Amino acid sequence: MNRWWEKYQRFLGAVFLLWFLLRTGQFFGFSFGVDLHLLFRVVLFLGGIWGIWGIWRNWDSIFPVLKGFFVRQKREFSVKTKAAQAKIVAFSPRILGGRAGSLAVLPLAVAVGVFGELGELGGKLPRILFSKEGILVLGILGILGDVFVFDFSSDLMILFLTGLWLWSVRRYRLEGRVSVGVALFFLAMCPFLLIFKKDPIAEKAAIWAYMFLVVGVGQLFTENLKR
Amino acid sequence: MKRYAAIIVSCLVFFVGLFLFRAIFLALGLTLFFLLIWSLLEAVWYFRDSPVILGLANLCLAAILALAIYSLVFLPVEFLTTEILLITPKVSSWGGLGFLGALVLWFSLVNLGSILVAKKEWRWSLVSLLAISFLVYGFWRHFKLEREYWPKVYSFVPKEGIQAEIVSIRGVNFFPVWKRGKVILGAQEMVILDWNEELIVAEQPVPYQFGKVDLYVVRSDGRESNKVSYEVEDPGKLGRKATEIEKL
Repeated sequence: MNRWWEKYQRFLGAVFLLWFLLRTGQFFGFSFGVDLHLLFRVVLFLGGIWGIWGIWRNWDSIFPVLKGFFVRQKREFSVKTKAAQAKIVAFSPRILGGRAGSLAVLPLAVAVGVFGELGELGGKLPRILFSKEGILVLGILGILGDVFVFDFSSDLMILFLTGLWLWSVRRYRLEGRVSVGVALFFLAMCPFLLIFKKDPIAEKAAIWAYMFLVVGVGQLFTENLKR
Repeated sequence: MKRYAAIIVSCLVFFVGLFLFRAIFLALGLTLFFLLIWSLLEAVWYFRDSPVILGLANLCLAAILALAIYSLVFLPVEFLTTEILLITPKVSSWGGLGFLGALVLWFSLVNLGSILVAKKEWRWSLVSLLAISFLVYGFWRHFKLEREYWPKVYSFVPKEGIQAEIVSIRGVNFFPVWKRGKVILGAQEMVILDWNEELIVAEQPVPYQFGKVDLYVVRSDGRESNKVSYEVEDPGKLGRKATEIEKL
C-alpha cells in the first residue's frame, strides 16, 4: 500500500507541475491546445483523493487528536452552558426555580454558550492576524495580490502595504539588502511583462520596485549611520 | 560563477539584450533576470543532493518530458487529422488531457533522475528530444494559427440532389450573416437561404452539368473552404431509376 501511496503522490506532483508549466506558458502566450480549466479541476479532484487517502492512512494518529479536541470543546461548552443556566435560573422568578424551570431556560443557556464560544474565537482571530507572522504574510499576500490580481490601483493601499512591510522589517530586523533584492526582482520582471503585453501588471511591478528600492535605500542608509 | 566571469557574462547578456530589444531598460531587465535565474540555479546546484531537490527535479523532468512527447506526437497528429487530411471538428479536450495524463503517469513512475545520472548518453538524447519537440511545437503553432480561422466544411446534407434541392452545410468560420459570402457548386453559385457562422442553408440552382462536382464556401474576404463532392442528379435518369426499382 505504501508503494501505491508514493506512486500516487509522485503522479499528483507531476500533474500539478504540468499544470503550473502550462499555466506559465499560457501567461507568456504559449498555448498547447489543452483546456487548463479542465486540467485544474482534474488536479483538484486528484488532490481531494490524495487528502482523503492521507486521512484514511493516518487515521490512527488523527483520530485521538480530533477526539481530544472535540471532547475538550464539549466539556468547556457544557460547563459554560450549565453556568449560564444556573445564572438565568437565579435571576428568574421563583416559578422557574425547579427542574421544569431549568429545562425551560436550557435553550437560552445553549444560545449563551454558543455566543460565548463564538466570542472566544473572535477574540483569538485578531491575535493571529496581528501577530508578527500574520502581518508579514498579510503584507506579502497583499503586495502579490496588488500586482497580479487586483485590476485597480490605489495609492492608499500601496502606502498601507508599504507600512506593513516596514513594520515586518522592524519586527524581524530584516537587512536593507532584502528590500533591495525584492526591488530587483520586481524590476527584472518588468521588461518581460512588457514584452508579453502585460502592461498593467508591469506598471504595478514597477511601482513596487520603486517602493522597495526606497525602503531598501533608507534601511541601508540607516545601517551605515549606525556603523 | 566567479566574480569576473559573472561580470563578463552579464555584459554579454546585456549586449545581446540591447541587440534584440534595442532598448537599454529591457536589456538591463534581461541582465537582472539572467543573474536572478543564475543565482537560483546555483542555489539548487549547491543543494543538489538533498532529497527534496532530487524529488522535485524528477517531477519537473516527468512533466517536461510528457509535454515534449505530447508536442511531438499528439499535436501534429491532431493537426494533420483535423485540419489537413479529414477536416473534422477538433478532438475533445478530454482526448488531449487523457493522452497527457497517461504520459505524466508513465514518466512519474520511472525514476528519470537516476537513469540520467547512470547513463550519460541518455542526457544528449533527452536534450535532442526537447529540441526536436520545441521545433515541432513551433511549426505546429505557426500552421495552426495560420489555418485556425479558415472556413471549413465538416458535413453537408443531402449528398446529391436535383434543381431547387435545399442543402445544409455545417462547418466553422463562415463569418456572420452581415458578412456573408458565396457557396459555389461546380462553376455555379447557389442561392443562399440562411447563413451563420456554423451553418449555411442554400438552394441548388438550375444545373448545366450533371454528375459529381465540387461544393465549397467562399467567405466575404475571398478565403475558400475545403472542397467536398456533391452529385448533381439528372431528373431524366431519376425516372428511369424509379422504374428499375419498381421492376425489382
